[in-house]
Amino acid sequence: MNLRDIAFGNLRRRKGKAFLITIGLTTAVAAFVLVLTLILSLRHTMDEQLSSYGANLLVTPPASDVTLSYGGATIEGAASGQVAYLGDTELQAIRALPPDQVVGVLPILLAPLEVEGRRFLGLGTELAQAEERKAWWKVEGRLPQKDNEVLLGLNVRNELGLETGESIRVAGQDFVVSGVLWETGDQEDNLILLDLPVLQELTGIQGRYHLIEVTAARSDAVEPLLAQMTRELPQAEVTALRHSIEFTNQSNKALADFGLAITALIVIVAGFVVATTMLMAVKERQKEIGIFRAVGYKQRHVASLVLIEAAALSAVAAGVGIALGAAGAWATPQLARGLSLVFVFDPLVLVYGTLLAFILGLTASLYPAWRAAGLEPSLALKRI
Amino acid sequence: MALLEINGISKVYGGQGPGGVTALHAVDLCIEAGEYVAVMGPSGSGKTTLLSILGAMSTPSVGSLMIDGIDVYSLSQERQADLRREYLGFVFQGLELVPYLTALENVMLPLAILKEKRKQERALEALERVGIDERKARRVPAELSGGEQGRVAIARAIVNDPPIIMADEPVGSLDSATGRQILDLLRELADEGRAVVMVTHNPESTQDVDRIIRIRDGRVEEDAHLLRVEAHPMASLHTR
Repeated sequence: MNLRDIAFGNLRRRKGKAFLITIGLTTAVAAFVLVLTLILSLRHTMDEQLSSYGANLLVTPPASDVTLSYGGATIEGAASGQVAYLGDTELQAIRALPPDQVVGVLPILLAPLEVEGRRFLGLGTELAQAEERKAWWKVEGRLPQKDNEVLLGLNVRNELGLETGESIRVAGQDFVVSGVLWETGDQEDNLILLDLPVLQELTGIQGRYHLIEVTAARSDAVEPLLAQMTRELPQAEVTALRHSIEFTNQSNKALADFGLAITALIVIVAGFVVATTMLMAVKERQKEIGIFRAVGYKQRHVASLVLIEAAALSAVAAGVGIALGAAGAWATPQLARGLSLVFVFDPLVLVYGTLLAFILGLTASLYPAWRAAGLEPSLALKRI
Repeated sequence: MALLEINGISKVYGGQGPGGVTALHAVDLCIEAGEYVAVMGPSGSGKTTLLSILGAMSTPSVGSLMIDGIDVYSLSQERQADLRREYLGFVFQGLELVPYLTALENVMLPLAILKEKRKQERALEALERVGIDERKARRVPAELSGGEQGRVAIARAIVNDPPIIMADEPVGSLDSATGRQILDLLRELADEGRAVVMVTHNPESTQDVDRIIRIRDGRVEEDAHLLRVEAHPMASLHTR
């Protein structure tokens, strides 16, 4: 027999108090695991959806006289033919980037197009992929599927007074309006959008692009991609568009802060419950502890008894709390219909949950253990 | 050299000021190995305080306790605990067995903090010594009779083979036949050469003792050495 057997024996005898302490610790661990898992799942989900916020890397020709901003361009240079281009070499190099880091590559060609004596900006790209990457695109009608179809930005459509299905003559060729891009609030409202090969054919510009949009798979892939592309594309300028990443990060941080604040509150309350219950248990056992001291137990032996009990209950709370917290995180998207959340369980949560249980259980039991250790052996002789 | 010796022991509860209560007044005592001593006195006379000081459990306000020549209260708390384990065995009032441990585990209690392999063997030997077999040793106290619980308490007191046994009203909660068995065991322990100090208020418990110390108001009122005659119900009395 050793101190552990005595501690376990006492736990078996005082099941009510052991249960109460375990409930307190379990609640704290479950809340922590639930919040942490939800935060990680949300972060993962938002990362997964990062592509829907549009491109996060922009590749442009060097020393371009085009003033570009993401989502549109002031293309005076393009109109005047003074623009430098990217070529197929750059496009292929970008397409060769690791597919687990890059989910989208959109080459874009810009060209001034004349319609009914007015000049508009034409944009040629892979429209199907562009619609996939730009979640804010709402198309009335459909995307162009034939070589003689175009998609009009809302302002162009309003200016020309055209509706879906009507004919339009662009740069001397006849097209049909397959659809209208509903208002984006960006330069896209002023564009005539065509599939890339159609615009290339129309302008005679083959294998050259004004810019290439790249969509990273995850927010943490952006910086490594920026470094790699800068290195591998010395003839181009690579710019990271951080607003979507910042948005993701800020959303994550706000969620994390909120979750952690609630968890901290629960942990404090649980710690108080554990400390109070332990202290009551020590008070109830004064005579028994006095006997231990009388038969030769040192203060550290008595403190060890209390801390062994706390550690044992912490271990149980860790197991149950982690299971409950993980189950809660898994069930949350099922219960909250409409919440788009990919459940992710990081093995590190096991480690953190276990650490929390032990740190909380042992810390909250330090004072009761100290009080127990300070009890006099003469209590064994008193009538309590 | 006496095995147990206290010199000028006083104990004041609540500080030395006017609010303090003096439980013991300048008590001097020597107890030899093999002596069976009863400490008697009315409630509140100071006998439990004396036992706690003799048992190295409560530091006196004044005076010293020497056990086997060691000045106990000059030692650190840690060393005092070691000394209690090595020199002292306790039988508490109400026996105070730990209810969630078996009889065997109760006896092993003083050994639980030691790093030695023969804990169980030693505990079983102590139980056998007091007449508890291994089958009963596996039972918790609630499953034992009062007499058996008393024997387990004595086994716990002797498992470390201490030279001094302290007993605080050891038969107070037992019927007279069971109490007799416990007193006989304490007598045997004294006959083996241990000093046995028993606090009691019951004169019937003292018929086998070698010496009676009567305390009143914190002072030794009488310290009587008895000449014990085997198989004779009466003993002649010599008062120091």
